[in-house]
Formats: sequence, structure tokens, C-alpha cells
Amino acid sequence: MVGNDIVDLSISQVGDGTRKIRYLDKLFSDKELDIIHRLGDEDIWIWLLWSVKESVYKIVSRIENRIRYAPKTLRCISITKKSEGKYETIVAYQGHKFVANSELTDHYIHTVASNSMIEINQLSSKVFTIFSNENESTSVDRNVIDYIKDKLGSRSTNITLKRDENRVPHVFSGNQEVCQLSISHHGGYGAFGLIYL
Amino acid sequence: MNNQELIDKLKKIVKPYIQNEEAFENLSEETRFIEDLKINSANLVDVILDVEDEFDIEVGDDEMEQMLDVKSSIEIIAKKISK
Repeated sequence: MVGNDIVDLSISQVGDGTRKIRYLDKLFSDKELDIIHRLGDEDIWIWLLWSVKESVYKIVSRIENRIRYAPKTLRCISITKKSEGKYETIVAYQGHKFVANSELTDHYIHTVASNSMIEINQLSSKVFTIFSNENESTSVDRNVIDYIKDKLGSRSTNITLKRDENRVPHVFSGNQEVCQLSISHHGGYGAFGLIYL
Repeated sequence: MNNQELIDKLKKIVKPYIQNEEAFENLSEETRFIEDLKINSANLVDVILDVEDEFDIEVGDDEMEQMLDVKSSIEIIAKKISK
């Protein structure tokens, strides 16, 4: 299964002083705060681990079919730099392991996660700009549909995006569901991660 | 403090973080923070911290997990301030 999350760094703030300490204490374990500290203590690492947790949380809430806001139950175990601006994080949750790949730029952090080490390498993802005059949801939907139309080429017929009763998006070509999809938006960015069925 | 007073205070607290004006205007006990008010999950922590400051209470991890809508939030706050 796929989860993804985008963080627009221009509107992400943790506050200062005691507010920051309290904020971090609600989201991260001591072990995770150690990881952040070792990475260099800048706020960017806070957002990187946060987007990892968010991505995995999206998978977990689909599996459990409920919204559970308990950031500390998703435990980031290790983080590895794969190449410039690319990081892989291993996350544990109730005996299950997840892997998350994050892309870090000066403007945003985008993470895709999976509960399968094989699947994570088969995921497609994209980040795009949402213009201030656009509705965020409409913009994300349009980008997903255009991307899939482009990938499927002549094999695609009548690509549609529908949400189920839990607001989970599904993409269809005709009556056939074509991929498993996770979408996100934050500030000026939208993003998605998907795997073809 | 009665329920309506708690709701009014909570409404002031969530205001800076909401992304759905209509749901905010119609806020009731049934209103959910993520699904209805479209509060970003990183901002949910801000809501919890502002609740702690406003009511001078401490919200534990287990309680935070339940504070996903107005009803459960005011229940938890009411229980804490009555102690």
C-alpha cells in the first residue's frame, strides 16, 4: 500500500523556546528527537520525520479503516541518506515495518511510503505547484488524471477519479481501477504517490 | 463552565488553523477537526498546545488521540478542569 505527504517549508513553523519543546514532545519520542539532533537539529529534519510519519499514517489508517491521531505510536527507527536530498526511513508500528523515501529540496519535502520493501521501488510519484487561484482538491485531481492519461497513453479510456465513503481516492479507466493512490497538498504544493494494479 | 462556554472557547482556539470556513461557521459538538474543519494534521498539535494554555491543563498522548472532534475534546477538557 502507498502513502504520501508533502510539506511546504515556507509555511511550516514549530515556534520557539518552550512552545517548540512542547510541540516536539507531542510528536516525537526521545529516540526520534535524538535522530533529529544527530541530523543537525534544524527544523527541516523535524518536518522530514513528520512527513514520514504522515505518509505511514495514511497507510495505517486505510488498513485499520479509522483515523488515529497518535504520532508517537509510529516509530522512526533509522534514517539513511541515499543520495543528495534523498532519505530512506524505516518506521515500525505495532510489529509491522514500513519504508519511506523522502525528497528534500529548499522548498518542500515529499515522502512516499509503503508497507513493502519491494513495492516502494515500484511507486510513481509527482510534486506540482498549486496556483493561488486554484482550488487545492481540483488541482490535485487534475494533475493525477493528466499524469495517468499520459502514462497509459492510448490504453486509457475515460480516466476518472472517485472518492469512497472514507474520502480515499480511486482512479478508474472505464470501469477498471488502474492504481492505488495517495494524494496530499500543503500550501503551494500538491503531490501524489501511486502504484499500478 | 458549561458546554457552550467550552465550545465557544474551543472555537476561538481552532480558528487560526481551519481551512473550511463553512464548517467552522456551523461548528457543533459533532464537528470533526480533520475531516470537517480540514485542519492540517501538523496544526492539530498547535490546537492541543493552545488548549493546554487556555485551560491550564496537560493533555496526554492517549487523550490527544481522542481529541479529533469537538465533542470528545470538550469532554476531556471538562474532566480535566473539574479536577
